[in-house]
Amino acid sequence: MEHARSVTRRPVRWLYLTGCLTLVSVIVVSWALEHASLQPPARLALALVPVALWAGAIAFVVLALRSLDELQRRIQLEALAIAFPSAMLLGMLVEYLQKAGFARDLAVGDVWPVMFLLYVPALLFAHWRYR
Amino acid sequence: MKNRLRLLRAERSWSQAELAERLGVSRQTINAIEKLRYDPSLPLAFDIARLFGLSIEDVFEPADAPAASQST
Repeated sequence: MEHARSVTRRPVRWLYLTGCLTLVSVIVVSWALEHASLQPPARLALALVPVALWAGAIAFVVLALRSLDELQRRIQLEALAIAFPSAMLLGMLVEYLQKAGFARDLAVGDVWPVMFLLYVPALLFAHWRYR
Repeated sequence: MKNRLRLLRAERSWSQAELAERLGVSRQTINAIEKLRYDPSLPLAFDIARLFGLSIEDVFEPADAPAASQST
């Protein structure tokens, strides 16, 4: 069987770990940059930590996708197909609310982190479809 | 697309996990195929048929095929 291969969850676990580390680093680095008195080189190095972690997460996304079988790939695709346009819809909502004079404190960019929150129920829904 | 996967698996007393292991896919994939919630790709369908020593037509048939032919 040429295409058959063992299903391993290791890259997926690394992806979740890197994703969690990135989120934690975003919080810690944001706090440190705001409250700690650091020299510019240290501030620059600190600011790049979440970026480096996220770059690593992208590599694990590719590895994780390659480790999935065809149904799992479809489930991931359907989850993203729900989460990504939903985040765009929220962005559009924020933009038009602002044009109408509401939600002045929000920025369209604030919506993108919500995509990760939308991805979780979207993934659960996609799994439920093929349960 | 209908299939006889559950029947063929039962004949060999294989669990879904065991069949999944033999095919290199997840147990969820086997379950979804058996419950007709997912149609496998052509390569996977060939692998399934080959594993059971049958042709694809012996394992899978169109959804509009007569019901009687499913149990043959």
